[in-house]
Amino acid sequence: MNLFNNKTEVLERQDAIIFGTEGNEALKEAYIRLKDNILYYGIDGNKKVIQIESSIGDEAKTTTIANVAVALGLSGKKVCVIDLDFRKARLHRTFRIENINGITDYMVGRISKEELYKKTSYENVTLVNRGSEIQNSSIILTSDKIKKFFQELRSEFDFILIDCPPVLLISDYIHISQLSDGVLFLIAYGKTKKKQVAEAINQLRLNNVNIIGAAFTFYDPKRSNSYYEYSSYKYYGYKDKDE
Amino acid sequence: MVNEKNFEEKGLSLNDLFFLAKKNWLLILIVIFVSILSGAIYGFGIRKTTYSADATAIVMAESSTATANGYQDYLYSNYLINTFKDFIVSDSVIELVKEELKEYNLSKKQILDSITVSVTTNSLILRIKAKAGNNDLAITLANTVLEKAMEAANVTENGEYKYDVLANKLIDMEYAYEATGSRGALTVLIISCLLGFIISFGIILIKYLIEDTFTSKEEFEQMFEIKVLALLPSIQINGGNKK
Repeated sequence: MNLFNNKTEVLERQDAIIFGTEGNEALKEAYIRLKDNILYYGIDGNKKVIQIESSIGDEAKTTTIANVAVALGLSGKKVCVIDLDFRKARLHRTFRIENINGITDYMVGRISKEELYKKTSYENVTLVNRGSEIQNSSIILTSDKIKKFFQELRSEFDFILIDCPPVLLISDYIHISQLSDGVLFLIAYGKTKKKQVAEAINQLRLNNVNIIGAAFTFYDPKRSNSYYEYSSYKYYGYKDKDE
Repeated sequence: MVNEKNFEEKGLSLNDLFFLAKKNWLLILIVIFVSILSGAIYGFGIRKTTYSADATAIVMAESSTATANGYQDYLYSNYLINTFKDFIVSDSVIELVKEELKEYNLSKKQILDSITVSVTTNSLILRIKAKAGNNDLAITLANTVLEKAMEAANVTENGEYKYDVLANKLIDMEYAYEATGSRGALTVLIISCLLGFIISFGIILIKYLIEDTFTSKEEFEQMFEIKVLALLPSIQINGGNKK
């Protein structure tokens, strides 16, 4: 497979996967760091289903999942990315795959597992898209079939990354947390308010959801008040500009 | 749960302040520059130097009754010096001053606005301060007011003093012989530079205090006790746009 074709096309997509494209070295480095942390987290082999959450919408969840999945795939890990954001499914667009024959179709027995798994153009990365729209997502998320499906996924893949709706908007995270090992919480730097983050984390903790860590998206080192990150990212930032 | 104490309290150490200053050095420079520029325009262009001159006299207070005690002496001297204070700014004196200084073409209001009569606490010293646009006028005005006050206090009518209580009470007059100019343009520049410094820090502090999003990963980690695994900058598209 060729990671380096259609570079311009990839960047023109709404949610871009930056691996295999030129530039964005700082961001690539950050994704690799996040991937390494996830690898470390799943080192014992049990913690491999990770739910990506955020407080509100538009916090780059889908972009983050896609790029971390590609980074894990490039490290030789078999990764499955699943779109469980039933109301705003976007993962298929990021991987440029048509949103047909998805998990909703599989859950109602319309398609087989072979039809459900979509090979992406990235090494070791498999997509499970949403598929047909549904009205009541909790029926699927609480079914025995999805629990069994996740058991199977665990044996088939090294890591399973789940794209979820925002915590403060939709309560699906409670059901999804029953399927996952932990939550990676994303915060849009300079956008998500502290009170929104506090409310979302409180909600997760009230429901005994295991938060494995957090990551800032849209991070701007020039605006940051962090003593330690500023200088190193400043260098990368300027490098990007030059490119 | 959220570390409520950290969520509510937002301290600012000297290190934070130094870091904020370093980060906002351009804002500080711009505000100081604007402030100095304003100071220069005011100091060298708009502002006119005013000169002030002081003339003093002692009011002789003698009790009129042989049986007067110390307290009565005190009351009498107090009464006398305050009468003089009002007498000096009365029409009787100001008209004489106006007549004397007619070459300067000063109105009564201009004279009254230019002079200040004050008394020294617990003494009988009367001080006349005159302010004017030039050195000579300030000295002349202060001395003329003092002279004309004495002249008016000693006016006679039908062989008797018109103001019997004030007659021959001003002694030891000390005329003004020099005037001091108001602060120079350099002082205005220094003050404007300091003001610029204070204002810029004020702006930075207000910006810091009203910030309701996370500005550093340490702030988030401290508040929620969750490890930040990565700081993901925005995607730089070839044209320079961010996503």
